[in-house]
Amino acid sequence: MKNINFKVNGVELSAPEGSTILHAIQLNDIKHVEMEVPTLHYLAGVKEEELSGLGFVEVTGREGFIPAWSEPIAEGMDVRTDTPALKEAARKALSDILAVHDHDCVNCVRTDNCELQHLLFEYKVKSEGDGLRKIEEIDDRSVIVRDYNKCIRCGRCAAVCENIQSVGAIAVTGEGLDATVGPVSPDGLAATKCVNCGQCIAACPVGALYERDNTAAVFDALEDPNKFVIVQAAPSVRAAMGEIYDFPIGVDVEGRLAAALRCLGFDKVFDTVFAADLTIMEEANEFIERVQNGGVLPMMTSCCPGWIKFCEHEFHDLIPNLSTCKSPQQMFGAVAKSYYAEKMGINKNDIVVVSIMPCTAKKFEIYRDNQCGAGVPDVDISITTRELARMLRKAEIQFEAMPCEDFDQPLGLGTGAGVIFGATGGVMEAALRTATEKLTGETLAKLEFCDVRGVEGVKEASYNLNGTDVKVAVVSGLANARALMEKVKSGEADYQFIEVMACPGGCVNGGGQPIRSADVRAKNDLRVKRAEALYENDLGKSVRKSHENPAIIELYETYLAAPGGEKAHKLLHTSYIKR
Amino acid sequence: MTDIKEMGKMYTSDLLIVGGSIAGLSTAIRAKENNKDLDVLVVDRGVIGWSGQAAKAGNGILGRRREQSVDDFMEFSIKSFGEYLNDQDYLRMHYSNIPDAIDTLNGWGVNISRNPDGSVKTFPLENNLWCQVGIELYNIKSLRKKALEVGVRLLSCVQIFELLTDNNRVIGAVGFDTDHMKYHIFNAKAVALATNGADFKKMGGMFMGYGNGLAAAYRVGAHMRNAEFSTEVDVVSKATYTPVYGCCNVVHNALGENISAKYAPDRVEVSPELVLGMYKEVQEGRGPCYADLTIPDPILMEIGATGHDNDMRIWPDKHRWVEHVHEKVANSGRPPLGDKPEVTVRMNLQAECLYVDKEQKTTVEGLWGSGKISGMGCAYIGFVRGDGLGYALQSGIRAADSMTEYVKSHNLGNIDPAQVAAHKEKIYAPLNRKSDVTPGDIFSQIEEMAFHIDVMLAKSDARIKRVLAKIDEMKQLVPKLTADDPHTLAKCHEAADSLLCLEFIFRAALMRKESRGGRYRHLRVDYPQRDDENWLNWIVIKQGENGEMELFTEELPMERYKFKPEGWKPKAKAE
Repeated sequence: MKNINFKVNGVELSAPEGSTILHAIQLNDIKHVEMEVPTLHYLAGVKEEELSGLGFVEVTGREGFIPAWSEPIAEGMDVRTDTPALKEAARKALSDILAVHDHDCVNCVRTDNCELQHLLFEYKVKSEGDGLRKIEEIDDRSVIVRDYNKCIRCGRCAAVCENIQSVGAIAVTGEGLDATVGPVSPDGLAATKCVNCGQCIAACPVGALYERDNTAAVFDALEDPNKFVIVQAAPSVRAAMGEIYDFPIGVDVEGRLAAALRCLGFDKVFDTVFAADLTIMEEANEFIERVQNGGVLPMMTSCCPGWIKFCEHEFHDLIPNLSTCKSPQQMFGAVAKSYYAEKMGINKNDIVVVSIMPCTAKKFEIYRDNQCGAGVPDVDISITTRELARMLRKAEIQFEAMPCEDFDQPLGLGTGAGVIFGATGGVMEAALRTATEKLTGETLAKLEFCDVRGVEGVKEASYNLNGTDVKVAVVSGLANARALMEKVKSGEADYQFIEVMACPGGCVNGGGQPIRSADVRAKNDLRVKRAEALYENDLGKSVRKSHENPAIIELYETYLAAPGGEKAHKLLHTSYIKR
Repeated sequence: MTDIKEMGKMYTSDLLIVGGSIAGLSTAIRAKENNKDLDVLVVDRGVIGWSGQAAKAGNGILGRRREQSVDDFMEFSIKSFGEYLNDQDYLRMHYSNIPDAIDTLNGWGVNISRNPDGSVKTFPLENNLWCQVGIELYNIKSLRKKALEVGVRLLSCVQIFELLTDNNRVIGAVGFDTDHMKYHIFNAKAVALATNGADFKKMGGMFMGYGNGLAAAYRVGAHMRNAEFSTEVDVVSKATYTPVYGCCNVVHNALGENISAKYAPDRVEVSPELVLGMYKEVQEGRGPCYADLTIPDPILMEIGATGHDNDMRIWPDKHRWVEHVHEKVANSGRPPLGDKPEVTVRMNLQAECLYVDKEQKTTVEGLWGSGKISGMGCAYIGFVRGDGLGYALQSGIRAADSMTEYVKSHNLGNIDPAQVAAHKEKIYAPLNRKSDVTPGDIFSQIEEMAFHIDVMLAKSDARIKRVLAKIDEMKQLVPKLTADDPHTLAKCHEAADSLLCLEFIFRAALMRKESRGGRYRHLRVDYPQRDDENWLNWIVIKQGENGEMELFTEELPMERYKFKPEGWKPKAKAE
């Protein structure tokens, strides 16, 4: 693509032809505040307009303010972002927003990571009053909490819900500062088709949306001397947790994560990757059985509770296609409260299983029906990556000072195949590694299934497994999933196996992950960088196939007998409902 | 004896680096790059990434273009700044490695100035002999990122006060966290001090070091060197108290006379002579002084006022002194400065005297010094503006290389519980005292006493002795210091350690009976001349057997150095 040269405040820059002024400046990644164009509504790929009164620039030779989010750059364009008129207009827009934005920054989960706060600081805007709207309050009836007093009505949450996820649970009514953004049902998000993916939280520039906080329950459990508190951490957490502490995006912090959890006082620090391997054993077995016995195809993965709820709302016909396997989070809990409890001689009622997840839908999943494999809830408390960071802060544990430690055994032993679950295509790749070897009885020469990697919304590939052609598809983002499912329903698509993840890019980009500003998201593809950390982790693992995990082998040999067997079925499989 | 773990929070690592600014982080990152399996822990009393002197440094680093001759560079530096007291081996190594070090820093994610073709952009200074490279203001934040990426452990808000030893080898350190005063114990195979030295009265709100690192090293037997080269003077704007970079040639008195030319004609930096001259002019009624920024002066053009306009725009614009000052003045609602701002002088004493060799090893096994703590102790004495960052960076790299090698053959030393307990008692002692002596008493007395122009700049035998007597008097206050919160407790030890560093400075100054040096010039009014016959020696300080401060001299190996003072002859061997 042709590059175009232009100037910003006298500095020569270049960017690809067709870029908007805003995007062109972002691409140049300049660490200079005065050259940034302030925005609060614009979120690349989600909502590409700015109606807040910000986002303007001046161009020499043209009159008035030019909207940077829509105006393309032209050769030799002389852009100014720092004129007194622009600054004054930005200050005016910001103080209007601040006048109706709750000023209690101290108790806000987004303090220090708030796009509004950042701009108020840069533009030195102060406001009087407390900013409370005093007409609406905090709606915490769903796992996704909305604080109307902090909402700046940017509409990003509604845009991501409608355009990226095709769920449409959130809508904007009214215009400008009189607008209200909220659930489409007066009874709150829980009464809508919301799948709890949390992408709205990740898009929110301020603290108006956040997950229901369960950290107090975890602290209570840790302080209770009668409880044996076990923690499991999902693969994606290690690929993003560091970002909260200024690690570059995509640095794997597995060792520090294990050490920090131990510091918090968990009795055992385990790894969800172990359960991911277990999921592969069950899911690959289920797939092979379906193929060999004429079961319902295509089979669809069931690791993602957002996708499950979406399917239950939207595609009743396809519910039989869903794998009956529980998600790794739930499988872990079931094994911890049966196999592990019996092995260690601990009463399952005394065990508290806490999970650290990149996901807000996991908070919903633990309360689903038929998730009590051992007769007690599989998982007791599910918290997000962000909540873990809040816990560490409260406990005054410096994550940056943690040494690299290992997870405890045996439920902390995972393979590379389980680790890549966090990236879109990872479950498929892990399943293929195991299914191929099981079907052919031969050792794979090359473990990487690169066709199913990458962040494209829909990927497809076909593989010959011992004489049978298997056509697979991998999809992430629910709008993409909806389009694909329509094709499956109409018979246009003839896949045998489909992996679905609700969040674009998979769990690494989950709704419970560290929130990055629109600016950072425009300059970095979080999905790619975080996934790279997982693929690198996979490469570094000595065991990279789920069925070769020694802890899994022992679990089957001493307890479960065989994948899909009676005991496995009772503990590790579940059912779905039409909603 | 109680278990060590019950005395405080215990940390173990391969490398312990005290101080998390540019020197400490460079040491840590380099060590991890040398061996990714090393467990490297950096401890800082502030929040790493935002604390330290480099976090507030100017945005230039001393550079050398690769094609530039190291010899020319050295000759200029030795003549103008070190006046032949330089360790020329060290200086050569340091100047030779500058371009590589800057590339390394850039590779670590710190932005530097670049030409459109991607090569390093240098800003020439002083007839092309040296140059500066632009560096981003948030360099420490970028280094923090890199350190975390390569797996360095960063522990913030813990201040170190003592080092632990095992058979004269340093094996760890102790201190407390500044939030809760919890005792922290560190055990490591090798320890580096990157704490900065001791500063007394920095100009314009800069970072202060209190000599905790120097004092802790001294107490475990480390030697100090060149403590007498301690006085930094600067010409600052009267309105803002920020240095007027590059104005040393253009200071005028109220009559319009160029007093730079009158008192310090051959100096390329602000010198005590210029400052004393300004002082004299004002005393004799020809004040106030001003800097005439309209004069086309090469140094002024290049360091300070004008020059790198567009090219430096992508760097935070604080680089240009005039703009910076104008902005400050405008923000305070005062009239603009104009081209002839009134100037005054600010003085600063600093001790950076930890004796290190070419590998940044101190004289004690297991202990290294990187960054400004050893800025004078390494004896390269080539300090010019911008070299603080460069020295910190390079010394960090050298220390890391040496430490990586050392830990290959050394295990963790044994911690002596009695030593840990004794340090704990000493560190927390001020908490239980009933007295009304606060650390502030000592600091205000230091200010009163040391910040006379006579004492700091125009030293003499009698004046120095008066200072030393006063130091002795103040030392009596140390055992009476009292504190009831972590901040004040830390200050108690900072006051005591600052006093010790002040004593290094004035003991050494008393011993050196000559005047020498460019920047950080040692000026004795009773011995105003350079004395190459008797004083081509370094003054070294150590703690004697009975805890007394001992001073002795070490002769420079001038014979094998390339650059020799005019008329220098090898000494006749004593029979």
